[in-house]
Amino acid sequence: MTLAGDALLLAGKDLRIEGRSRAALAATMTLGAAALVMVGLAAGPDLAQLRSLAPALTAIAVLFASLVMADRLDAIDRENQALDGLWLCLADRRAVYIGKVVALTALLSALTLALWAVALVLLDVAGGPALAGLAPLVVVASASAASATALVAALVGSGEQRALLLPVLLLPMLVPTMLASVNGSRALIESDLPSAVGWVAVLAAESALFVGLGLLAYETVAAPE
Amino acid sequence: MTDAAFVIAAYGIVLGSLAGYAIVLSRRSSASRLAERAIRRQVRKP
Amino acid sequence: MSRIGSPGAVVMTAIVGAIVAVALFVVPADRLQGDAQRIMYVHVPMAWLAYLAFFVTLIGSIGYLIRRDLRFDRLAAASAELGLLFTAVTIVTGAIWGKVTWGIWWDWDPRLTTTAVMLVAYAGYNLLRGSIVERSRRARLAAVLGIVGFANVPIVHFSVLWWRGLHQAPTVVRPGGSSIAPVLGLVLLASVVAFTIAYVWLLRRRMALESIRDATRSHLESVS
Repeated sequence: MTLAGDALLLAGKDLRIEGRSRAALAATMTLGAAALVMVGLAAGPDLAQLRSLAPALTAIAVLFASLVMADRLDAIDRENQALDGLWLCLADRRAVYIGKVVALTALLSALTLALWAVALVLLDVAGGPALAGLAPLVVVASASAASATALVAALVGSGEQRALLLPVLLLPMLVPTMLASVNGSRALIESDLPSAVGWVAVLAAESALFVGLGLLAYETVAAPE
Repeated sequence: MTDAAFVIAAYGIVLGSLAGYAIVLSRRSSASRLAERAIRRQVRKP
Repeated sequence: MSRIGSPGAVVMTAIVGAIVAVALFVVPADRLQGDAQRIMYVHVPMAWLAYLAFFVTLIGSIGYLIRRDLRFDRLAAASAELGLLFTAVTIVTGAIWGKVTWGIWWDWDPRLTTTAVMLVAYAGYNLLRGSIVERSRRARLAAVLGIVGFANVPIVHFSVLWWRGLHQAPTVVRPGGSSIAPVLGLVLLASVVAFTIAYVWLLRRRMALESIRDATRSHLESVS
């Protein structure tokens, strides 16, 4: 089988597991919505201020929920040392990485779009038809975040300090993605399509960079002991 | 605080950090050296 | 091996002490900023040393992945720890200088923000190292992170050119050549050299500590 074929099979496996249990998506959406309510409460009742902060507040909620999502997706392979089995049967082990990126992109996109729907209501965001552009923006941003997350999740492994290490290592790497998606979503709310397209291009470049990095480094960091 | 006080504070932080790190390093090195010698002696015992 | 009271340590302390004395008491104060500008003679070397230390970590990381020789990993580890110290000191001295010059301890300026991100990134590197017991696995994973993390350094340096903010644009290492006054520039250069000597001294001692720990570990492994 080819790298792409194996990767799609593995992504399909993860998405099927998630589809049957719905554990990660339900929990992370609840967490994300709760985080959105909390940051909204903390930022104060001034609706005009919340409206202007909507892209940033939503990004924070997504970030927290993503950490849980990433951990959950990785846990599937850590259970019963499933990764060891995968490692032995694959011709090109980078398929594990690509598979994770694809699955995580799909799940993060669903999570983020759902949270945006909540944010549009809670934070009273008014926008024009340009808001439809949120869908492609979210998918590309999710791809960027997913490619960094899959690599870092493999790096931190399954040790005791995983819960601390994952956010500490991942958050600095997600800063460019977060900034680009906040600016891009703000541009869409303001119906500034040229800027929004520019930010989508930035996110696409970031995705390419992280995927390249992941392809180079994944086997080195993820090899089972 | 006067400008001079800020300057002294900045220099103090720099020199203090470097000196503090050197002292801590020295202590850790001494302790590690002692441990290494003790273990080496134990390992070599028939 | 050099110790706290060794000749090497005494010479190093004398060099740093001499530069500090010159910077505080000999060099004239800046016309615009006054005495506050003297903070430059410690803030800039600390920032430079942070870059250098993380560059050395990069070299050590690449070296380890290619040669699988633990000496490279010891170099990377020692330098990353020092780099973290220098970054933290850069931020603190920068905050002090900022308070005097701009009236605020912190600003969400690109240079400051990217430096803070770099601090978190390398704090993560050190945390990762501390969390992995198995020696070769620690070296391998840290090496990958040491290479990836170095992306922070050019981002921090060029942030003042790429985005507008409060922090001063580079006056020495910049397109078009240096713009600093010659006397101040000379003292700054001497300060950078003096603190770099201190870095090398600390680096060697830190590597020696890592070497002792590895020796202890291999004694223990030889009996298990």
